[in-house]
Amino acid sequence: MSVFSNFMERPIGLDIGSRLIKAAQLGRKRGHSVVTATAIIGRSHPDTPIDRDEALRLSRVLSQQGFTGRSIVLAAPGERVMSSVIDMPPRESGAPYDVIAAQEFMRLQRQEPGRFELAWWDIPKPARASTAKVMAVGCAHADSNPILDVFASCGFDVVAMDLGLAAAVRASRDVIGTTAGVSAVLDMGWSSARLALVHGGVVVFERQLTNSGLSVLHDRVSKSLGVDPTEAEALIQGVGMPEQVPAHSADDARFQAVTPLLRPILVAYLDDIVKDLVASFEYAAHQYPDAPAHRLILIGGGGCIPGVAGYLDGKVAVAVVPTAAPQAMNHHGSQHGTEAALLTGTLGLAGYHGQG
Amino acid sequence: MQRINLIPKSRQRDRQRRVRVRLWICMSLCYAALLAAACLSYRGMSSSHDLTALTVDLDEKQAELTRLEDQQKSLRPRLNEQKLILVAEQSISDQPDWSLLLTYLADEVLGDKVVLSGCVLAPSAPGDKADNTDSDTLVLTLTGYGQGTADVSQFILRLEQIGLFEKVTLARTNREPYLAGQAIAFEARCVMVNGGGAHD
Repeated sequence: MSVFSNFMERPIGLDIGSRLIKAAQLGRKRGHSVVTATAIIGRSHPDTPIDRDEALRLSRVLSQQGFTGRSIVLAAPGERVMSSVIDMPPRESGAPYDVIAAQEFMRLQRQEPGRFELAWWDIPKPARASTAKVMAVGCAHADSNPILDVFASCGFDVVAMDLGLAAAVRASRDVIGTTAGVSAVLDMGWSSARLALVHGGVVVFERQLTNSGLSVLHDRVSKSLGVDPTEAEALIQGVGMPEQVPAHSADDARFQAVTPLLRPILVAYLDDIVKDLVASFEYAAHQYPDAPAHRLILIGGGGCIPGVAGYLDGKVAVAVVPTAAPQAMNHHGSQHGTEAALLTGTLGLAGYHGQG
Repeated sequence: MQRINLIPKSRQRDRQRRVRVRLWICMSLCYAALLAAACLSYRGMSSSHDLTALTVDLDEKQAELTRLEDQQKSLRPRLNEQKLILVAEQSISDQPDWSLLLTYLADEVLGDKVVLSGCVLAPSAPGDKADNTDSDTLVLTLTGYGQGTADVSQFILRLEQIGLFEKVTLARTNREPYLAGQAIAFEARCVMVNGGGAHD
């Protein structure tokens, strides 16, 4: 790597999931951000932390897939990220927000000083609140250091460890727009689903939904239908929700046979998510009564299941939209919905340097 | 939106340090390259400037050389002339003034009864043992007439007494007609060492 490359190339966004590693890199073409490379790579050892061998394999694959440079922006491990909304004294008081935010975060998350990294930002003041509020997210050093050590040992230059959902919001800003209402981004990942509420262009609330990972759904399908995980995945992705079955699968006898059995499992899984969504939207309505939630954007593997967006749309009082390919991705020529859903957050990570 | 970075602060500082070092290396390399390019371009311009100046200087020097050569050529005849004059003057300045000797002999030594008819100054012959002289010895041969033998003898004696000659000998005497009468013709040989007087 030359001395100059670090200053010329944009970083690679890397999202290390439980089953998949998603990578994307942006560049500039005629003044616009364009996607120059993307990759979705299966994990060597699913559901385990990434190790040096896998990182070296990843390094080779990235080179083969047209990625350049060694700078990367990682997504913080979602299940390890802690988040809190913290009450603060008014800005006019001149109170040290950094100190107060850190102390409150330690108290709320039961953390010790110097053992975690914190980021916080102002959020719009809720209508009924008498105090200012900030959104704080943190990650324990014990959780981030092993990952950073692995990538550093393989010659990667880790520029930042960003919040995956914040990156997804950044990549979806064209869809979210600048309307006054609250938007939501739901990342239906393998190990868990996470929800972020966005108001005024910033994340005002972030939480992990209970029993919401796709792994839970796959387990249930596998056990209920007596099929192996691979078959279970094929059924889920091929059939989806019965009302929304793709035309090609309607002719598939196998899919038709399992549809009556698959639907209750999917409905039960999605209803659990709906409960959390409704509760979250009620919280948003309570905090910002003048800014009703109006849109839910689905990303992640769950967003690719046929009919899920339609089902959720009928259950929550907001418009549910599957991930639209970000503007940058359209330039890349990729319109595939699945890829767009999986790579939304990764594209946001890749745009880490580009944001102001 | 707030930029989030959950990398531990110590690692962030280390990375910033590394980036700054790389940046400084990069800037230093760029600066050195620019400096080298500037030096080379200046040197290129400077060398052409120097070449022009040197060419002009060379032309001037050549013109001056030509002028000096012409001047030298014009001065050469004068130099030769002056050399000749110098040689002549040196040759004259090295010769003794024999007229002083003759004046002295006429005024102080000759007397009233002796006249000189000839005077020859010549170096003594190398083999002239009779005069007991060596090669740098001069011999002044005086010929003349005396009224009588005694007058000639007196004259010879006075020659010896003036101390100018190392040896004075009367080489020949004989009576000869002189004017209307007779006189004693004589030939005196006066030996003197070149550049000095008689030995005491």
